[in-house]
Amino acid sequence: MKIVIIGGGKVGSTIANQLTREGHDITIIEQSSSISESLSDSLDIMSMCGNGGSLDVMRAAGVGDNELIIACTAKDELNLLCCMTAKRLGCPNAIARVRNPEYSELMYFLRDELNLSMSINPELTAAREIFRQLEIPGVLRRESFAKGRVEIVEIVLKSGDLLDGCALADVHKKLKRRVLVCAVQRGDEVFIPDGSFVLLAGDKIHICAPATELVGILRSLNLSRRKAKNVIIIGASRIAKYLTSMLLKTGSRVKVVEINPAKAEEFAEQFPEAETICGDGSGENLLRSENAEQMDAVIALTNIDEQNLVLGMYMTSLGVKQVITKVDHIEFSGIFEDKGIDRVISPKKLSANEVVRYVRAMQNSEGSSVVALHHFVDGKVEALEFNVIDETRHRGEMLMNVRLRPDILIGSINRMGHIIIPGGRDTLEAGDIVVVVSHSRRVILDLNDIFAEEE
Amino acid sequence: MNGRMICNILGMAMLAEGAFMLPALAISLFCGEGAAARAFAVTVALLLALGLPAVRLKARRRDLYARSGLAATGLTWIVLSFFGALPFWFSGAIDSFAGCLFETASGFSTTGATILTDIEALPMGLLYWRSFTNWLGGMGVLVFLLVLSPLADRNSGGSMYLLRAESPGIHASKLVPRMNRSASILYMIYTALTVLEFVLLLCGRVPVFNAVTLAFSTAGTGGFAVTNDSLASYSPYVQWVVAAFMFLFGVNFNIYFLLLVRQVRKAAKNTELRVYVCITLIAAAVIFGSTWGSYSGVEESARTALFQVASILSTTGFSTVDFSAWPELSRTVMLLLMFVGGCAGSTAGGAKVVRIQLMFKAARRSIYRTFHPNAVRLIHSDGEIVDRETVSSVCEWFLLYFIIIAASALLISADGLSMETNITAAISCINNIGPAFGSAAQNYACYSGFSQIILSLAMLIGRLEIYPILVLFLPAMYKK
Repeated sequence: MKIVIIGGGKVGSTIANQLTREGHDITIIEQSSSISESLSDSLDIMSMCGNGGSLDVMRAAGVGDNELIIACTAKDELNLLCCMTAKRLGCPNAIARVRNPEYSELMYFLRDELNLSMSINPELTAAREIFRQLEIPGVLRRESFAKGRVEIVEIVLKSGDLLDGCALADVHKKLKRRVLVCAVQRGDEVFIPDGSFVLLAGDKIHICAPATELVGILRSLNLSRRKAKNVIIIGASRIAKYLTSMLLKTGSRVKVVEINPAKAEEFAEQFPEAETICGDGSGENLLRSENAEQMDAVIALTNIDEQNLVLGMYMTSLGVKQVITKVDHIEFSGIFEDKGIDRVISPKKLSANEVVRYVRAMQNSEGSSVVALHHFVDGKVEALEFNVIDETRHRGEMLMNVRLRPDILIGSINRMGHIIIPGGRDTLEAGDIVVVVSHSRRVILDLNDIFAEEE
Repeated sequence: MNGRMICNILGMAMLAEGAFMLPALAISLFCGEGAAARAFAVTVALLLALGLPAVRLKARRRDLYARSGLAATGLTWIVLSFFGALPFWFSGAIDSFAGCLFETASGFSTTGATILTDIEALPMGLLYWRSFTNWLGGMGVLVFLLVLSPLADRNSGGSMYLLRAESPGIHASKLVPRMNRSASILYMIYTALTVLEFVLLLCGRVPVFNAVTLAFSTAGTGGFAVTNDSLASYSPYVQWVVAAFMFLFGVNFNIYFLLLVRQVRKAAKNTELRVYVCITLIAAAVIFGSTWGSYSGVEESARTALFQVASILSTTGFSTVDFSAWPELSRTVMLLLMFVGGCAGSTAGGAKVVRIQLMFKAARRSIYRTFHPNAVRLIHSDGEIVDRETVSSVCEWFLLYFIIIAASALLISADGLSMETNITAAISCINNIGPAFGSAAQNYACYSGFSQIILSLAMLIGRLEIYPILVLFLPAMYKK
């Protein structure tokens, strides 16, 4: 598919990277010539230098011949303008990055004029993601599917754990619950395991389970399941604002540290219930005096990745249970995993996921398209949600008789609200919603893509 | 540097060269040329034996950055020239190895200079191979490989460095977002034009073999003919056709792409194209005037002038007359044309019209600045501002270009030929033209083996626009 991206910043380039990987033809319009040049050096895309809002540039980029425009410059207004212009030029679909919450009503009001298929707000998405993680502190990550009825959670196995040395076929006996281990990360390698796979201490495992069973599973594994009550946020960024309002609504206590007095004041004005502290969040004294180490959760949201990472490591060393670090620029965040930074939030990657899901759904408008898409393990594994429809093959056949392609498994089946963690005797029926876990190497557009080709 | 990755690329280039030799082998077998056929068979076997393991080498990382990209390009061309020379050597058609190397480097670099005194004595298979190297070298072998495979990691833009190192001009750019699509569009245009010329030549009753080889040599703006007198013995119709195609292959291929996607207005606005047309017409007019009377009639005079101008400007090097015997004014015009070359993004050599344009604009600005020291003047090209870095990189490029001309002229002057011969030979080789003045007007047989190797290098340097070959001689290239 031909796609134009306007703005080659963090979000734009991440989206471009992901979409070229999936085989789309990308043209990026970027204002700064040096960024535009380095993009064309590092990705197999066409990059143009110019103002994406100008008609000349959009014409020169051939926006009208493209099927989708993604406007993700830093300016909301420009993004909306680009989408409107693109519509007049003949580009049928548009996605805009709109961050200012004040525009949300306007976007609804002008939906037809703006030609918006979707809007992305990386900060809001990031805040939601952090909030969901705070709800269950025992896990490193959680992603929900089937409207929240199914969860995939990531946990680390410690030696002496219940599951240490356990073969996957026996996991449900040990936990006495219906669960499925759908991906295992061991060192640098990632496995989509089968029943004979034996878990070892140190593995990071991804468990797919009905949401109702989650608490029970965490209890059997001796993991904390108390919701974070006291949260300290470093940096009164936009994400912090979204997050604070979510946390305050659910009755958590929020403390925010901000170094810039003007920003701190603005924040205090907006959230009188939260405690706002003006000071250097990277200073040891301030953190100690604010009792940071006794908090349930510390969230590092400053604009500087390095500061967030150092803060994260420091707080983990002080014994804080849940430390969430925002990382936006640094690409090799993997190396920090052993150093106490295991919960990393990257707004640009979350947004790229949203866009990729949308693009895959666009490519597959007839068949059963992707409802939700999440990436795990540095993007090496992906979990996708599909509706089973009449065109889906192998309906009604027992799964033990259906051959799937390698490195793919079905994580769960949602049948009329009832969650089935599938075994060999289960079947797929029309109307089901299924979660499929696979290696990201293989791009899955349609549910039928998971079946091995018939001989 | 990513050594294994470079080996992979070299291996693929060698396999491709082996595959391209098969038609030549078939021709040799068909014509019953035993020695040539054996030479081709041995070379193909060698290329397979060395290429396959090189391709099989597993590179840990498949990304490619500026340094490895340049090195891969430079090495590919040197390796290809070496193996391309083997059939000449094994078959005994040329008796010095330096001569074989010269002939192949001249082919791949699309120079078209030869050391042979009797071209027609060469076996048909070798004649075909010589012209084919012109065709392959014209658009570039790495661009061809990019059609087949992304070479570098698909998600890194690494292959961009290869494209940039191999295609002529200041800023090589893709036509469409995907590299392999872009490369295949280029080759499609290239092949289509070549076939068109072939068909038009057939219409002029040119024998099939001559038409194929002529079309190959014109397309690459190489200039290897299969007859001793170049194009002189062909009919006026054939000369007009070849002149037109030499001119066309000197045009930026982006223009053809714009025509394909029906952006005629944008194509017509291209200033480089306009300057290219102007230079052709003015130079032809001057020569027409200065040689008036030497040829019978307006048609022949015009044809002779236009043919020679198109041939030198597009750096092809075909000739219908011995222009080194022309009046001094015409000879000087021809010498100046040698420096210009075709447009960026064409198959022609030389400094390229766009560089000359930029240099003139920069020179005008610096003259203006002498009496308005604080004036702010920007240099525009096709309505866009050319940034300072590009301007200075073009100036530096010209400096290197003249240094290399001077150095090669100096090195070959040890053979004791006239100064005119040495200087024009160096200019002709670096600009990938072919014929020079003086003793080297017809062929380069007068030079010693050492000089032939120096000139071979100069031709490759010229074809790749200096850097990819030059960096190979820099010690810093091989440091960690």
